[in-house]
Amino acid sequence: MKQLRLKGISKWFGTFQALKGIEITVGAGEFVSLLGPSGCGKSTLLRIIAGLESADEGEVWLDDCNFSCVPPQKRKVGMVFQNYALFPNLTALGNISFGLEVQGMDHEKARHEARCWLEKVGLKGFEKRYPHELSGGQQQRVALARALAPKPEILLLDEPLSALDASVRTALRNEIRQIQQELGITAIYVTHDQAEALAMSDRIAVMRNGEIVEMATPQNLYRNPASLFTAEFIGAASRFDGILLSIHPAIGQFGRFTLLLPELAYYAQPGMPITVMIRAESVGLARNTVEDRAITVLRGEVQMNNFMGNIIRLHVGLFQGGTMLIDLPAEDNCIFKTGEKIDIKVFPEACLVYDSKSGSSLLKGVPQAREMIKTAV
Amino acid sequence: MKHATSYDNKSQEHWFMWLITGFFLIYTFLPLIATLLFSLARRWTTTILPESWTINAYVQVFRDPAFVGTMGRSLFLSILASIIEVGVVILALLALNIGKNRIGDWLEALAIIPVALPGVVLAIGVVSFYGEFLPVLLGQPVLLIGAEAAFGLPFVYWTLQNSFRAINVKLLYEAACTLRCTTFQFLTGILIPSLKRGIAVAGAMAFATAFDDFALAQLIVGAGWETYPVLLNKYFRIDGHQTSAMSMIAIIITFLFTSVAGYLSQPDQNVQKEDDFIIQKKASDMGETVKA
Repeated sequence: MKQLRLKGISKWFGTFQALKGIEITVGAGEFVSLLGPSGCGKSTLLRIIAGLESADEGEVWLDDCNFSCVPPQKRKVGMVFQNYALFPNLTALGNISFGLEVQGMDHEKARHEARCWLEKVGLKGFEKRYPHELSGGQQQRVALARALAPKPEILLLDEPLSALDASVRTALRNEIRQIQQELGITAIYVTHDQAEALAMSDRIAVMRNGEIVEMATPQNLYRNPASLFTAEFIGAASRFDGILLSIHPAIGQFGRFTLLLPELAYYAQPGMPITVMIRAESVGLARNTVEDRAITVLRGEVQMNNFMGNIIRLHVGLFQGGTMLIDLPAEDNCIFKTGEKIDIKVFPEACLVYDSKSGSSLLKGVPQAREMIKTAV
Repeated sequence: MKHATSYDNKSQEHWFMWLITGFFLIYTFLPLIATLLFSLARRWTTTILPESWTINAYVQVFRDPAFVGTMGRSLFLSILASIIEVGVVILALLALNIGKNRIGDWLEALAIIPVALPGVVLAIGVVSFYGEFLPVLLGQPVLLIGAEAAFGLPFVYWTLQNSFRAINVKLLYEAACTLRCTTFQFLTGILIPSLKRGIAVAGAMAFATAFDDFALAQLIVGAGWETYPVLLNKYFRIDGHQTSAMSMIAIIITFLFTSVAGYLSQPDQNVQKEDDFIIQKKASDMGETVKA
C-alpha cells in the first residue's frame, strides 16, 4: 500500500490550461474518486498519474519517490480503461497473464495466476474466450483482473463502468470496491457519475475547469458541500438567488419570499448576495401543519410529476417565484396531479447557503472548500 | 393487399440486386475468361468460342529457359518489396499512433504521390535522381526493389492505417505500458498478431503491385535483371496465345499468394457457434442483474 501525493500539477494543451496546480494526497489503501463534468481534466490527471501524459508543472510522489520523470512501464500502476483496451489477439486468460509474462514470470506460473484472477472476478470457465466473445461487463472484469494481476501499487480506473448498462454497472461497482478493500490497494477512480462516486469512495475530489473544487468524504460532500458548484453538481436541489437580510435570525430575501436560514458563519454580512440550495429530499409537504415560526411555508402548483421508482419527484412552480424540487416517498397518498396546489415546508437546516460571488459556503461549521483541500494535503 | 405490394417491392429489389451483382461479375471476369480462352485456343477467328483447343502456348512458355529465371526474380522482388513496405509502414504508423506529432497529416499527403504519378514518370525520376547522386545503383536490382517498395507504399499505408484505427492502437499501447510492457514486446506480442488480417491484405496488395509492374522494371533494370512482366512484354511481340498463357500464370500466382496470405491471417480460435455466445452472454448479464 502506497500513499500518492500530487504537488502542483498543471497541464496545458496549446493555450488551454487543462489542469491548474492540482494538490491532493491519497492515503495508502484509500479509494478516492475524481468527480466532475466532462472536460474538467479528471482523465488528464489520471493519465498524468499513470505516466501516459506528462505534467507541465508539478510532481507525482509515491510515498517517498518522485515519479514525475519515471516512464509508465516503471510506475507500477494498474489501469482500467473506459473502453476495456483488451488485447484482441489474446484470450481472457492470455490478457491477464500477458502482464505477468512480460515481467519475466514463467509461462505456466503466469497462466495459473491468471486463472486465479479470472476466478476472483467471477469468470471461471471463460479462459479461452476472446474479447469479442465476451459481454461488456465480462470484458471489464477481465480488464480489472489484468490490471491487478501484476500487483500494482496503485489502481487507476478511468470511467470503467460508463460503457455498461445500469444493472451491470451496479454489480461491477460493488465488485470493484470489494476487491479493492480485500487487496487494500490505493485506488483512484475517475467518473462523472455521482452515484458511483458516492457509493464507492472513501473520499471524493470534485473537479471543475482543471481545479479541485473540494475534497471530502461522500457523506460530508453530500450533506455539507463547501462550494456552490458541488451542491449543484451532486444530488437534486432547487436553487434560489437572493440577498441576506439579517444574520440573527438568519433570513434571506429571494424575490417575493423570504426563507429562514440556519446559523451562518461570522463572515456573512447582511446585504450580501447569497444563493440557497435546497435538496429535493430535505423539504416536505405542509398539509394540516399548524403554523410554526421555525419553518418557512411556501405555496405552489405542481408543474411536473416524475415517478422514479422509490420516490416521486415533483417540480413545483412557487407562487412567490421560482421552482422547487420535492422528493416524496412513492406511496399512494403522494400522487399529485399537474396543476394541483400544495404547501411546502422548508426547515432552515435544509438550506445550504453560499456566497453568490465566491461560491463558498456561509454555513457555520462548514470549512471553506480551499481549506478542506489543504487539510487533505 | 398492402402485404402483397410489400412482397412485390421486395421481389423487385431482390432481382435488381442480382442484376447488379451479375453485371459486376461479368465486368470483372470477362477479361479473365477471354484471356484464358485465348491462351487455350488453337484457332479462334469468326466464332464466339474457339474452334479448337490446345495447351501448346503453356508448353512453349514453360519450355522457355527465361521463364523460370524471370519468375524467380519477380517473386523475390515482390516478396522482398512487400516485406519492406509492410515493415516500414507498421513502424511508421506505430510511431504516428503512439506519438503526439502531426507528421501523420504529411504522411497521408505523401502517400498519394506514388499513385498520382504514372509509373513511367516515377521510373524516370528514380533513374534521373540516382544517376545524379548515386550512379553506382543504376541498373541494380536493389534500386528496383526500393522503387517498387515506394511505389506500393500508398496501398499498404491506407490498408494498415485502417487496421490501426480499427483496433485503436494508441489505447492498446497505453494499456500495455501500464502492464510494464516494452514497445518491442508490444509490437511482437500484441500489435503484429492483432493486425494479421490487415498485414495479409496489405502484403497481398504490395505483392500484386510489385509482381505486375512493368514500367519501373523496364526503365530501372531492363534486360539486365529481367522480371516476369518484362518477359511478358517480349512475348507480346512474338505470340498472342503465349502472352495470354503468361498472363494467366501471373494471375494464378497472384491469386495463390493472396489466398495463402488470407488463409494464414485467419484467427486461430476455437470459436463456438455465434448462437451459443449470445445465449451465454445473456445468461451472464442476467446473472449480473440478479447479483445487483
